[in-house]
This record gives sequence, structure tokens and C-alpha cells, in this order.
Amino acid sequence: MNLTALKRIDPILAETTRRIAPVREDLTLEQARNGRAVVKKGGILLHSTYDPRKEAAHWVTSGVPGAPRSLCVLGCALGYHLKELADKGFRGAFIEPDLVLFRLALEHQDFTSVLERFRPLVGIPLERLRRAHREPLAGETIPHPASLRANPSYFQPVADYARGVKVARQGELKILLINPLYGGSLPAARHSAAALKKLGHRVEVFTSQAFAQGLELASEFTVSAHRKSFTGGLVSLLGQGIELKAMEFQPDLILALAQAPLHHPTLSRLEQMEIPTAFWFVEDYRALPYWRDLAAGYGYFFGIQRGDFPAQLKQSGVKNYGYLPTAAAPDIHLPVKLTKEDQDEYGSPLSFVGAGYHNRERFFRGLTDYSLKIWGNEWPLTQPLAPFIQRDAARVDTSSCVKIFNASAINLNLHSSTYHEGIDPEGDFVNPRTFEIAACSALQLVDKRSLIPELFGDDELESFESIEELRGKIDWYLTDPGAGRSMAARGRARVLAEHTYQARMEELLALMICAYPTITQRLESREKSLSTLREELELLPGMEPLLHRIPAGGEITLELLCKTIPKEAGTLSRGERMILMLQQIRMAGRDEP
Amino acid sequence: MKEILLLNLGRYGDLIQTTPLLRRLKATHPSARVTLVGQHRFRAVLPLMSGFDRCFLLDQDQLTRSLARAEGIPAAYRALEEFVGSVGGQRYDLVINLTSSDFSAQLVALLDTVAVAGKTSDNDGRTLVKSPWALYLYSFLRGDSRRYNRINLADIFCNMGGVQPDGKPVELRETKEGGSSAVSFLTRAGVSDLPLVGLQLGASDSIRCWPAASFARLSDLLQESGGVRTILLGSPAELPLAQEALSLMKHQPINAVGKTDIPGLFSLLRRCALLVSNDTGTMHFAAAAGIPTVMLTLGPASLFCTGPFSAGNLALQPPLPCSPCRYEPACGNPVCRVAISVESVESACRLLLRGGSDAQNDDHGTKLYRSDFGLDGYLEWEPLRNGDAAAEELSHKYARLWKKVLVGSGFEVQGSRFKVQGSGFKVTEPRFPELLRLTMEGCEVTAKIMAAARQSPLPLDSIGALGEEEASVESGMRCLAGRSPELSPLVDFMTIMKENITATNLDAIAAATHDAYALGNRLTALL
Repeated sequence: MNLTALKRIDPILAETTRRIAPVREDLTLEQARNGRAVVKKGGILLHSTYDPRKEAAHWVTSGVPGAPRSLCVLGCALGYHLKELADKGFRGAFIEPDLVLFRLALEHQDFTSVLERFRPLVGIPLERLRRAHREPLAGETIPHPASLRANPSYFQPVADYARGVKVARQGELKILLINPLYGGSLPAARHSAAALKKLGHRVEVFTSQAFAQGLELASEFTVSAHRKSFTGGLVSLLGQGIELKAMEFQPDLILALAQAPLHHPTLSRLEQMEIPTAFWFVEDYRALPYWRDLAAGYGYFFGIQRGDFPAQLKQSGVKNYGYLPTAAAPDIHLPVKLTKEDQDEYGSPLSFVGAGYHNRERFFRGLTDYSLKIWGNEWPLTQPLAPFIQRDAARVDTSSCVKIFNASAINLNLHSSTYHEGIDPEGDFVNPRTFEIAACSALQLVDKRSLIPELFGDDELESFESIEELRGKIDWYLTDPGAGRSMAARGRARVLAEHTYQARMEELLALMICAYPTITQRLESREKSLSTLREELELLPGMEPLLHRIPAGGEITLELLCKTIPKEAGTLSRGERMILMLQQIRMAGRDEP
Repeated sequence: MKEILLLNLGRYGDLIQTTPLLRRLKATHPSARVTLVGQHRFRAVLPLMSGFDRCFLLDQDQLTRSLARAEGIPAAYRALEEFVGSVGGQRYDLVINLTSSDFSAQLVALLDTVAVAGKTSDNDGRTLVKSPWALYLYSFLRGDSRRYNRINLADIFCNMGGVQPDGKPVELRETKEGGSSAVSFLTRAGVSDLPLVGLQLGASDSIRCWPAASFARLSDLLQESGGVRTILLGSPAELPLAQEALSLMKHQPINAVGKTDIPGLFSLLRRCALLVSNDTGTMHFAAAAGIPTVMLTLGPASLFCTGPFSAGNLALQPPLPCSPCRYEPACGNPVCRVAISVESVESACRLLLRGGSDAQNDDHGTKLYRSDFGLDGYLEWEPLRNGDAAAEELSHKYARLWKKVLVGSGFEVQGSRFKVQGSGFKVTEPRFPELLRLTMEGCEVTAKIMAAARQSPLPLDSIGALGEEEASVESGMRCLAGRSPELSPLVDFMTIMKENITATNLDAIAAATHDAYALGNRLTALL
């Protein structure tokens, strides 16, 4: 009966549960004094041996006070507490990593009322849970105390992460985002800033890219030591700028994107200022090994790869690593209605957008019998691909990319490589274009990557492993556009649910909040002290005129107080001088060892 | 004078360099009460200093901690208010501000003062430099002028306080506790009768540090050739540097890094025969302890400005055109750190340990100087080896000029008070005719502005045109100093004079600007 009910809700889980044997060494079934079944996990009793139902009723009354509402319960055990919650009118979801325990619960409990009201999130690894089930975690989460005791290594991080997500969604964090000096990670930085703002945070962006042209001057030095010295000097200058910005803005955390001009001295001074730092390395760690020199300086390192990367990072001294794939920005990457002119210009049965890397140049030679358009820069305008290359290999901007994705019957996506002859057989990470094309509800054929299956289902994204397979799939989808449209629609739905920059930023923030309790403390103390700070300051001699220049209810910082002091506009009051002196003290503090 | 305030919010070295001024103030104004304002963090040196009657300490670290969060502003404000209230309890006849920060300028502005030497702030909050010697100090700290300065900071400090240098070194007194701690440390270390050579590996900035590996080799060379024992000195923060050096040494030295407090360090230095040091506070302690130092002048360190203030020290300077470098922007490729060879330093050590008049030849071109007090009581550095005779001659001429012009000019900056006193300067063929011409043009145009400013109604168009003419003279001088850096001391001094004009009406502003050009013109003629 239970399995039938489960099948209606989640057939895959029902099937997995059906197949699993309800026995395991560390799980012991016993009988309570009132005859009900109870279970021990690793020697820890998950229920009362007197009357588990009464215990559950008591827990619901005392532990979950208030009117029935939506909840996410951590821990299923044999489900007495879930049944009690369901009977009282609560609904929501429950999380249980242990499939055998869940199977036991289904065998010894009538779960139909529970399954009607609570969505089972069973046997899901933590990382998948936080990516695919953001909503239950962001709501009210209640740990089942005995389950937490029996499996703290799973439930404690879930509980912590759930707290982190709530703070991340609450907004009002002060975040300093460091843009890359140059390179392909600039769009990711922009999308991240926009996503953080959408989450309600106060984001200041350090626009390092303004110095990109200056950096190009390095090429004018012929001696490599001079180039290095010049580049080092510029990075050092920008590092100083970042420190100054941090001092002025006083962020709760700093997020730097790959190629941001942060070096060790700056990172250690930011650490001294007790500002947690995160680095999102949206690049291939094998191709760009500069991370080795920087990684340990960051508080939290986020990357787009797994494999042995985390181990290598650990060896370099990194304490916290999080796998965080890239994403799409759904307000930019979206289905658009094209004009006839746009459709003619950007449309084609087969298209590719991306730079002319070696492997792409070799691979696409096998597609010259198709009506193919190749967009992007750094393509050699030579045979046999020259006729297919659009706009003489000029760089394509984001809005044109979106038009191309929308206008093409099939979008090719081949991850770049500087030395493979075509597909990288060991390619792992997933490039942003995968998410962007999918977000446009456009059909794409992407080369096989080991990390794709956990991001997209087989029916959401089509991949290929060889030129022959690709050609077969091109032919198939060109003759059956309907199949392509359905797949693309499912791909878009998955992106919107899981792979947006907003989701990524939420995850990144939640993990940072878990790792650095000071982030929450700062936020809380800022909120609490806002009113009392003004009251306290008003009592200080000479401060009242300054405070009048700051809007009531707004934030008060030393910088804001300084800004209220007019420059060279008459005699400074004693209070104004004192505030200027305090500001100078604070700025001098950064230079002291 | 009844009340004198000395404001020095610098580090240990800065405080030690204040001791000649304190000594001279007490000798000149025996009945005055001298108040010292310093930083709480560097209070440990105060029991070793004399010449002041009371002291106020600013706990900058505590204020910084409070200000780390917005909610700490009220507490920091109250603490600062209390500090300012304590310092400003009475009127000061003279405030000598030896600190360059804008904070110190604001603090001085909050005090009731008769005369100020150093930075203060006007009613608008603009930082002003008061007194001719302070103008001189800040004129050469701003750019290329610094490499032409030959007057030590301690001597400038004395002059800012209106007292003449007395040809005596910086001074500290040994405390009983410091002495016992040094003796017991050396006993525990099993020190024999061999002379001790102190090695100070660190500095406030890595760009000023000779490599730890070089120190390691020097230590081995000194100990291998017999006759001395080396001892590593430094603060706990310098332990990693010491560990690096120790790991490279064949012969282990005594390691006192992180094991001494300030009185103990001073007493330990008193028991050394010699110190080898980067530009550090330890170097100034050694000067006060009466032991000679071999100073390694790296990065922006200048032996002439902040070298050890006592006679008989040696200083080595890399033979690089950029040395000493500017404070900012920081050098991205500090090749000077490896430009002084271990052999050069060892040779200088031998010279000090064994005596003699010259060190052995140095093929690397490293410059070697020796310190002594001149007949006028100022510290001087005599080039012993590889000096640039022409540059030395010009720099010395500048030094003589500044001393003549600035000494006895009082605490107020008014061009008319700058008189070139005494003789010794003969105006011959002008050496720098272009600057002479420009300063003359400056005099002429400002004289015209003064005349126009006295007319009624004001001839605004004509004044505007004259103003542009004056700006063009100013710009011409800056370009000239860019082309001929040896003129930058004069141009920088005239610029800072003009920047610190406090007059508010046109006539007076023009007169003060005229004074600056007139002085510049006279000095150029004499150079």
C-alpha cells in the first residue's frame, strides 16, 4: 500500500525502495512496550521504547508549536513523528539519506497520510540536495532529534546549510565583488553581481577590468623580468585599491572571480580585517594552473571541477572547497521572438558559437557538408572552414549569442581544448554555454562531459562522443524538429529550477555563511545596532548636526559621517574634526603590522 | 617658554630620534614643562628616555579595534575625546609636531597653541605645514628632493623645536631590569669573551630587508674567521626570517629573536661590539647604546635622513641610480636587496672591529659612508668609497644653504624672514640660469599682481591674465625640475611654501607668493 502510494508521487524512488532489502547490520528492530515497532541505528534508539506514538505527539506539541504549516523535517526514522505532523495538518517534505531505514518505515508504518502531505527526499547526497531541493531547505526546517543524533554527519550539515540558505535569501549582506582584470570570467562576474542584487544583497563591484588596457602595456617590454615587474606592480596597485574599497565599504564577505587581481599580501590583509573571502574559479584547473599560487589565500575556494582537484587544493593549503558549476542568467539567456531580419542573419540549421580553439577547428572539418554557421573570434580564416565563419571571426556579444541560439535549429557545443583533435575524452567540467543554450530553450548537441549527467537528465540534453554519433544526431533532429523542441523545453526547465546564477550565488553564500559564523553575526549586529547606534551617537557632543545629514533609519558608518562634512566650506566643528580623526585612525590601521 | 608639547606618534626609531631635541629643549628652556605625546604601542621605550616631564599615550590599536564595527564608533569617539581633553588641558607656548599624519594635524588644531612647528590644520580642515624647517622636511619627503638631503631627521627635529644641534648622539639610559635580563640571557647562552656582532634581519617593510641568506653567509664568514660571535636580534614577528637564516648557517649564532623586551634589547646591544642592520628601530637603539652599526641602505631607506645618529657608523648603499627609491609607488622589482654583496658587508664589519681608515676595494661599486658630527653640530656622512663626487658636492652645498637660510627663521613662515645669513657663498656665473630666469619672472608677475590688487576697482581681467602667467611660471619650474632633478629641492621648497600660504586677501597672497619666488631666486643664484 505504501509503495503504491509512493509510486504515485515518485516512481523512481518507489522502485529503488522496492528493490532494497530492509536489512542492515547497524539497524535493529525492536518492540516497544506498547507493541509498536521501534528501530535502533548504530546503537542509538530512534524512538521511545515505551510508546513511540505518544513520544511523537509530545514532540510535535512541544517541538513544533504553532499552527499547521509547511515544514521540512530532517529524519524519517520509522515515521511516527511524520505521521503525527501529517495528522495535525502539517505538510512539506522530509529528508532521509538512509534508503534501508526508509524501507523499514514503509514496512512498519502506514505511510499513506505522510506521503500525501510530505514529499520524500530520500537517499539524496547532500550536494545534490542543496542544488535540486532548494525550496524545502529554504523554508522552515525541523530536525528529528533522534535522527540527528544517529546520523550527525549528514543531518548537521543539512541543518547548517538550511540556516545558511535562509540568511542568503534574507538579503542585506554587504558583498564586495571583485571583477576579473580580463578574460572570459567577466560575464560570470556580471551575472553573479546581478544575481546577488536580486537576492537583496548590497553589492559593491570593484571593476578591475578598467585596467585591462593598462595591462596590455606589459607586452611592450621586451625583457620578461620587466614585464613581470610591471604586471606585478599593477596587480599590487589594484590590490591596494581593493583593500581601500574594503575599508570603506566594510563588506561582510568578498567574492572574487577567476583572474581577479588579488594576490597573497592583499588576501592576508583582508584576513586580518576579518573579512571572509571566496574565490569562484570558473576555469579549467588543468589548463590554467595559476590557482596554485593563490588558492590557499582564500577562505573558500569554489571550482567547476571535481576529480582530483579538491585533493590538489587541499595539498595547496585550501581549507574549504565547493563544487559550483557555472550557470545561465535567465533574464538574459531566454527564448526570444526574432524578426525576420534577425532570423535570416542569425539563423541556420546548424550553428556554433565560441572561440576558434584547435580542437574545434579540427572537429568541425567533419561537418562542412552541412549548412553550418560558425560564430566567434580567433578562428583562422582559412580553408576548409573559412566559408562557414561569420563576420570575419569577430567577437560576438551576448545579445547576438542569444539570437543565434534562438534562431538555430541545432546549436553545437564543443568544449575547448588546445591540444585534442576533437572531443576531449576525459573532459569533465561543463561550460557556461551549455546552460545558456538550454536557458534559451534551444536545442543543443554537446560533447560528452563527465559532470553533465548530474546536471541534466538524458531527456534534457543530447550529447555525443564522436563525429559519427554527432552526425547521426544532427540528421535525426533535423528531420524531427518536434523531438528537439521537447528536449530543449525540458532543458530550459532544468536550468530555471537549478542552474541559474541566482541559485549558484544562493548556494555559495549559504556555504560561506556555514563556514564563517561572523557573517551572520555582523548582519544581526548591524540590524540590531542601527537604532541604538544613532541614539548613542546623538548623546556625543557635537554629533547631532552630522547625524541630521544622514537619513533616519539608514545605515550609519564612519564613512557616511565623514561624507556629511563639507569640504573647505567654513570652520570645522570639534565634532567634525573628531570624526575625521577617527577615520584617519581607521585608515592608518591597515598599514600597521 | 612654559609649556612645550612634542607630538611623535611614530615607532621606536622615530622616538629615539627625538632624544637630541628633548635634550636640547631641556637645556634651552630648563623651566619649561615638556609634554610628550606618543603611541601606546611603543610605550616600552619611554622608561629609557629622558627630557620630558609628562607623557600622554594614544592607544591607536584600541581605537582601530573599536572602529572595526560601526557600533564601536561611540566608544572610539569617547576614548578620543578623553585623550584630546587630557592633552589639551592647557595652553602650549610651542607645539612641535614630528608626525606626518593628517590625524596629528587635526589634533594640533584642537589644541590651544601660541606657536606650532610641523603639521596642523586650518579652519576648513586643510592640512598646513608651519615653520620653515617643517616646510623643508615635507618638501624633500615628496619626491626626488630626498636624495639631495644631507640633514639628518634628528637635526631637523632640533631645528623644528627652535634649538641648535649639539653634536651629540641619540641617547637612552639602561634600566636595571634591562641590564639584568641581558646579562642573564647571555649567561644562559654561554657567551664567552668574544666580541658580539648583532645581526638585525628584519625591517618594517620587506623591501628594506637584506636577504636572510646573505645574513646567514655573513654570520658564517664572521664566525669562521674567528674573533667574534654573532647574535640574531629582532622581534617575535621576525622569527620566520630568523628560522630561514638559521637553517642556512653552518655555524650557529646566539638567537635572541623574540626573546628580549625593549629594555632588554637595548641592554643586549650595549654588550655588543657592532650591529649589522637594515634601516630599523634596532639600529637607532644601537646608536643610543654607543655601538657602531653597519647600515644596509635598501629600498626607500636613506642613510642621510634616518641613518644611525651617532659618530663612527658605516653605511652601505647599492650602486643603483634609483637608490634610495621613492616611498610610492612601491618598487615592483627591488633589485637593491641583492645589490650589496656579503663580502662588502664583511669588509665594513672588519673595518669597524679592527679600526683603520678604509675598507678594502669593492668591485661591485657599493657606496660606503662613515658618520661623524661636523663642527656645526650636525651629523654628516663622509663618502669613503665609490661616492659620486659631483652629487656629493651639490648635496653638501644644498645642506649649507638650507642651514644658512632656515636657521633662526623663527616659527612663522614669512618670506621676508628668510635671510641668507653669514658669508661663504659667492655669486659667480649662474649654474642654473633657467631657474634663475623663471624665479625672476615669478617675482615680476607677483609684484604686478600685488600692484593690481591695490587698485580700486580691481582690474579683474588683468589680474586673471597675471594669474595665468604665474601659473605658467609654476608649470615651467615643475617641468624644469623634471628635466633636471638636481633642481627639485628648490622647486619643491617653493611649491610647499606656496601651498601653505594662509593669507586670504589677494594682496597678501601675492606678497607671500612673491616671497617664495624671491627666496628661490636668491638660493638659485647662490647654488
